[in-house]
Amino acid sequence: MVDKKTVEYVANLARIDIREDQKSRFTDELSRILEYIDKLKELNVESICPTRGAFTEENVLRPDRQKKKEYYTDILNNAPASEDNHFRVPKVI
Amino acid sequence: MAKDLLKLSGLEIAECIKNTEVSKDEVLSFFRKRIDSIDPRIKSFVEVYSEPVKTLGGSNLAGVPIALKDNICIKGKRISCASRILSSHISVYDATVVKRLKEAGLLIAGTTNMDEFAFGSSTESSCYGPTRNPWDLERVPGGSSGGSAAAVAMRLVPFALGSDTGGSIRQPASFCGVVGFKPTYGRVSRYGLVAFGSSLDQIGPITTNFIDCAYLLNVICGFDEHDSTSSRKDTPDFTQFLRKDIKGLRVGIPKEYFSAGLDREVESALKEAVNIFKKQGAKIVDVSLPHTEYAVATYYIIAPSEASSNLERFDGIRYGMRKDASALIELYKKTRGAGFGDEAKRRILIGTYSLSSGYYQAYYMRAAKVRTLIKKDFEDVFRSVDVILTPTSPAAAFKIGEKTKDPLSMYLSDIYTIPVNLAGICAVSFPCGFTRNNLPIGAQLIGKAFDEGTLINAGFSFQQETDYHNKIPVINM
Amino acid sequence: MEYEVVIGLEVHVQLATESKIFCSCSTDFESKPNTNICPVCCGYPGVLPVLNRRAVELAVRVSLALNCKINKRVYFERKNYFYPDLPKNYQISQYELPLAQNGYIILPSLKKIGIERAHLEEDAGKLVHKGNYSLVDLNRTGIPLLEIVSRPDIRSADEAFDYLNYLKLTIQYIGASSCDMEKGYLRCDANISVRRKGGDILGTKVELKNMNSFRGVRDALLYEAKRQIKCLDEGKKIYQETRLWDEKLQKTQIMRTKEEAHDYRYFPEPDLPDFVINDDLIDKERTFIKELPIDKRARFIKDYSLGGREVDVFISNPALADFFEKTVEEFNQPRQVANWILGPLLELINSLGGGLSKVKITPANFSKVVKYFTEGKLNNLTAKKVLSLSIEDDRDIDAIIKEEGLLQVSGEDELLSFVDEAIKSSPKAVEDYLKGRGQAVMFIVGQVMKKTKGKANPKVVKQLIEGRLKEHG
Repeated sequence: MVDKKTVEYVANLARIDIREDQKSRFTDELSRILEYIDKLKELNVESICPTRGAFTEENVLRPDRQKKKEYYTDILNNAPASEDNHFRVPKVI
Repeated sequence: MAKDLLKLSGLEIAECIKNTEVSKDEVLSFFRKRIDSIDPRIKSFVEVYSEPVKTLGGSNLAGVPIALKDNICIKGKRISCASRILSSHISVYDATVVKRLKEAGLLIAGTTNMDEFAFGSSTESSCYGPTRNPWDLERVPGGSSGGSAAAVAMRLVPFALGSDTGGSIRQPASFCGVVGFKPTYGRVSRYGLVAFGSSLDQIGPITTNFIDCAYLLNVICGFDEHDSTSSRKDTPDFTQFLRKDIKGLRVGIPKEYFSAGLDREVESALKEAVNIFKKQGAKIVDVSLPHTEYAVATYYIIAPSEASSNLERFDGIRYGMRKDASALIELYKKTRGAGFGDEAKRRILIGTYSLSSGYYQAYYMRAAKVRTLIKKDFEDVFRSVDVILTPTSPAAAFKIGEKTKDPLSMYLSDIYTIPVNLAGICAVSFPCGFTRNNLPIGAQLIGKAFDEGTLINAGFSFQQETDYHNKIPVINM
Repeated sequence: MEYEVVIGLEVHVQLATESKIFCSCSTDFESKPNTNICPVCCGYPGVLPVLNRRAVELAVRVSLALNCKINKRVYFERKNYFYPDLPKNYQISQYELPLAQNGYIILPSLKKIGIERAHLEEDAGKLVHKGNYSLVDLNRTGIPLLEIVSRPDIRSADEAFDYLNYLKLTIQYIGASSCDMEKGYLRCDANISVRRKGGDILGTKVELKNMNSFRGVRDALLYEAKRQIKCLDEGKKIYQETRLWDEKLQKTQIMRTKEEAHDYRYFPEPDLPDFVINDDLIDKERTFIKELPIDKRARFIKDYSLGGREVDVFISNPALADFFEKTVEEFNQPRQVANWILGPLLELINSLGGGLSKVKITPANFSKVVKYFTEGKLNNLTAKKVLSLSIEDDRDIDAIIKEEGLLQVSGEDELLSFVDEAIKSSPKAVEDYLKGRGQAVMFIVGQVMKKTKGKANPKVVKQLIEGRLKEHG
């Protein structure tokens, strides 16, 4: 149903490393799951509106007010790598 | 005193504290001793706090310890969702429910084990190892809130909070013989609940009885300005529904939940439950929820899709685990590759695939449409009944390792709980019997949106007539 | 071979709100990195977005000013891609159904440029590249943006410049954003293709990024158009790609890091319910749209008989335009008033620094300067002097003239003695003049002006000097 290449492509999109020895197992498992999911094709849903979330309200807005700056010290402290009050990441290429 | 505390509900313990029959510290110490001596056998806790989280509040439940699933943010505490990628993450803020627990004077005793990021029905995918079912240590407690359910079953704490996306409160409650309540979507704030399926998740109480359940719901329910999906509907005082009277209550029995695949012992326990409701004056109605068979497939597109997006933030840059690399993309892949377990990866792959270009219409959109059909099934049925009665799970707790080789079989066991989340309505699992092997069997009552009251009424009534919820597992130490 | 250039512009405008679009962090310009941040805009586990009302209101306001059709039911979608300046690794934006569609803006040339769509989204943070690593500042993450996409109706780099200018002015006029490009409040990417003139199939589109000013946009488009035309002339292929404008080298270059096109996996945002835009909101926002810059421009040209270029200065500076109109109310000679504002007043403002805010002189007082000059009571020099004495504190003009004795002297009798003195002390100039160099008289005029402390009427002085010299000559 899906092949190893597809799994590799999707894993790349999702930015996840999958070990080589796991790839075929994942491919099998995913195939079976997606095959099961194909069950949905049995239904004719052409005229049905999709459910777009489980909302019970509309027009949920907040007033345009600033709150005090109380989090930034903790947030910067949590950074696995930082420099000069910035988050540090390897080069973007 | 020690024996008494074991038999008391959380409410009763709070009353004892108020009447100074027992002190807060004595209560804490009692449960702490229990945790220390018993939990090494079942491993329901991720972390037990030496001091409970500070609180300045008061309520009917003040002074009673409570445990929280490891995916509900507590400021200053490690919140890891049982995942390596967050195993040393300290939360910088409190979830809204945590604020409310504090305001009510409840004492947060620690965090409980779960399936990694709530992906699972057995608590086996936790990076800390599985929790064991206190009724049979070789079996799973259910998932993903297995730790909370096991801890409450074993009376390590009087009650706990879990989260439910496809059954993660109800199914472990049923495997562990306790009451697990999933409120209507929007009743309880999701702010501070690490998101899995944003349109499906709800936090809910896991208790031994419906009285504690109603009181806890009073504490945690209500509109929250930090959660745009939280409902503005007034929260009733749920304790007013703690009435024995259910005369005339129309109970629907959906045929699709009682077909092949249902364990015989579970079926007969449910038949017994039906009789008990009948005896109390309820009217039993046969109903049909025709799209039930498509619920698992629908869920396993929508939930992983939302989850795959929700988990993109775990990238080692602002918090959590980081596996360094010389280039950015490598950093992402190595960190997420090492930080996520197999089930998490599986879900992320399914979700990413379902949303990807070329597949979005065929998968995600299609599932969203079938979801509409499933919702409509319930709306139609609730025109003629007040509640729906079903088994919570097709069978009692399975053995540890039994379903891990076959993810699909694990998914299929959620067949009775998943439709409720897809429809956004409320449901509760409560103990209704035991198997020959002394494993708990759970019944599920499903209610209309925002009609938690009727479920509490029916469940309370049932517990006046039965004794299952008072049984405590015995572990040979 | 004649070619036609087809250009579309994508502009991101920061809406003028106090707080971010989905959390209450401040949007104040902050130079200290990572201080206007919170768990929500940093994508912490368990956080949720809550929509800022004002962002919606301002977005509606801009859409109305751009003559768009407002879609009544607004919802958001997630645009998923991994990048360090995007904490959740998805951006909450709009895709399938934007807030507004099918609008237009009219340029001074009277050409209509179509607006394809306008939608709301959150901004990303800022990356600072440092060799083999980068630093991330999340202050700007979550700032409310309105993305405005034009139709590919623009046909030249100059037209693109005009479009950007009038888009910016329109948005500034209605108070929806300060559009300060230097602060990053307005950003622009361009799409450009070329085709044979008269053709109707679009050529291969190239995306241009990294232009930091309107001039940069124009220069980049000019360069890229030339490059593409050269390619076509030489029979080379134009690739669909993204190119970065290099301001220093003045050329566009391929973005080296570009991978295959992103698969953004758009899906509806489950954390934000729909927002329905009702007529009340639309009516309310319309009241903030008074006179659009393009309409004001036309009015100024017509009512005040001013030239387009002059009017453009006023259109770009609404406070100055206001000052002009109020002055004309006091002294109804718009030509003169315009001259004095665009000349001496602006000169003074520039030398003072700080823009119009330093100018305390009122239109009423200023109008007197213009009036007296026009009537001959002040000459160029004395008028300027009076203005400089009043500009910072609005000192009364009549009082200044009286105290400083600056009334222009035009009487011949009064002036003759000064003229004679100046002629006597400027022998070389006299010699030059008599030799035929007519301009040399100005030197002598200057001497008289000096001697009379600028009060003399230079026209009269010149006449007197020339008269005297003729006599002597």
